[in-house]
Amino acid sequence: MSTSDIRAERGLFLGILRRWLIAAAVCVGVDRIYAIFSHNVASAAMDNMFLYPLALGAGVFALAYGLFPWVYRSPHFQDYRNLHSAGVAVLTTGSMLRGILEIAGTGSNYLTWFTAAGLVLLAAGLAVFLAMAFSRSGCEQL
Amino acid sequence: MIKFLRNPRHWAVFMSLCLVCSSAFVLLDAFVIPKAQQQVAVQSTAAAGVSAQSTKTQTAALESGETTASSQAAVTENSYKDDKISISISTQRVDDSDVYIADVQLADASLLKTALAQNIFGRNIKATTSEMAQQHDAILAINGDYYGFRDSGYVVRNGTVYRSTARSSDSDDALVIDTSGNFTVIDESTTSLDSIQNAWQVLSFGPALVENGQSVVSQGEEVSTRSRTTLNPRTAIGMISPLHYIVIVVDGRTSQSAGITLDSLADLFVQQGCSVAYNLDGGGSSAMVFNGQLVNNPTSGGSNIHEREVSDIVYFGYQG
Repeated sequence: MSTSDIRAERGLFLGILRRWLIAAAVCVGVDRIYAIFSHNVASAAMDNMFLYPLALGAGVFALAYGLFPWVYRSPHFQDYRNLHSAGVAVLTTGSMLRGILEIAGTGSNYLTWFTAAGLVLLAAGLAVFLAMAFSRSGCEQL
Repeated sequence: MIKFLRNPRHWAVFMSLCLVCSSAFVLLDAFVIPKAQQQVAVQSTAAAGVSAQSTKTQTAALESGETTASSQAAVTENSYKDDKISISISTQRVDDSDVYIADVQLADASLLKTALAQNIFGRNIKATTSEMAQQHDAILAINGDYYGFRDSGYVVRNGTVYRSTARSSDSDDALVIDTSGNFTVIDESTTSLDSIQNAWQVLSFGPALVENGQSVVSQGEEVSTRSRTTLNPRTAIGMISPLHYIVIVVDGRTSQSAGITLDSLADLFVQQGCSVAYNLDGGGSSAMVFNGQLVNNPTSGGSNIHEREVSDIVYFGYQG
C-alpha cells in the first residue's frame, strides 16, 4: 500500500469523523433550543439523542478505522457507509420524535417503526462490514 | 435503482426525503389528524326547571352588569345560586399568581358533568373550553384531562365508558367521581376499570393532590417525572364533602402571574378544607368559564392570552 493510499484512507476517515461530530453537536443544539420552549419538561430521548451520531456514528467508524483500516479501501465501503449512516440517522430521528412527543405528554405507536428500521439498516450495514473485514485478502474482489 | 441509490448523494437525498416524510406523518398523526372513535349519545335533559333559555337570560344580565334574581336563579358576576346549584368564585393572589377559586355545592351528583369536544370521543378532536361550555350551557366549566392527547388512561364520562386502557406511565393516578358525588383517587396500574363501582366520571391526568385531607404532593413533585419543578398555570378539582367541591384555576407564564407549583396547589386545597383533590391538565389548557365568560387568562406562554383547544371539559350545569 502506498503512502498516498494511506493518506487517502486517513483523509476519508477524518472526513467521516468530522461529519458525525458535527451531527452530534447539532443534536445537542436542537435539544438545547427545544428546551427553551418545553416549559421545563425534559425527555431522556431528546437529551440523549446526540449519543447516536457520537457513539454509533463517530465511535463505530473510528473503531472500524482502528481495527480494520483496510475496509476503507474496499469498493463496498460506500455501501456499508450508506447503510450504517442511514441506520444511525433513522434511530436519531426516532429519538428526537420520541422526545418531542414525550415533552408534549403524548406518544405514538409509529415510533417503534423507526427503531425497527434503524436496526435493520444497521444490521445490513454490519453484514457488509463483516464481509469486508473478514475478506482482507480478497477485499478488492468482494 | 440499486445502482442509482449506491451513489452517496442519491442515497443521502433519498434517506432525507424518507425521514422528513415519515417524521411529518408521525407529528401530524400525533398532533393534528383527527381520529373520531365514538359519537357521544346526545342527552336532551334540561333538568330542575332551568332551561337553556333562562341561562341565556342570566348571561345577558351578567353582560349588562346587573344582578338577576329570578325565581329560579340568583346570578351575579361571580356567583350563581338556584335550588340545586350554588357557585361562588373568589380570586386570590398566591405566590405572585392569580388564583381563581370556585366553591360549588350541588343537590345532585348528576349536575357535575363532563363534555367531549364536538361530542366525539377520539384523538385530536378539540374545541376551546368556552366553546364547549357554551354548547352545553355550562354554568361553570373548566378544562378536563385532555384525554385525546394520549392513547391510554381510563375515560368514563357521564357514566359511559369510552376507554378502559390503563396508563402505564410514571404517573397513573386517576380520579373517580361516583354517582353519589364522592371523589376517590385510584392507581390505574393496580385498579381495573371493571372493579370500580358506580363510576360517573373518571378523569385520568393527575397526580392526586390531597387525600384524607392531607397533601400527598412531595416538595418538587411534578405532573411527570420528566418535568422539572416549575411554576405553571394549573387546573384542579377537589371535594370538601360529596356534592361540595372546590375548583381552582391558576394563571401562569406571564409577568402578571407566574403560576404555582403542585405542592402549593395542594396546600391551597388543604386550606379550603378539601379531603380529596386532583390535578387536571394545566399549562396552556387551564381555563375557567363562568356563565359564558372566560374568568382567567389562559396562555401557553407570554402575553398572547388565548384559549387552547382541548379534548374535554368538566362542568356544572343542567344540560347534557
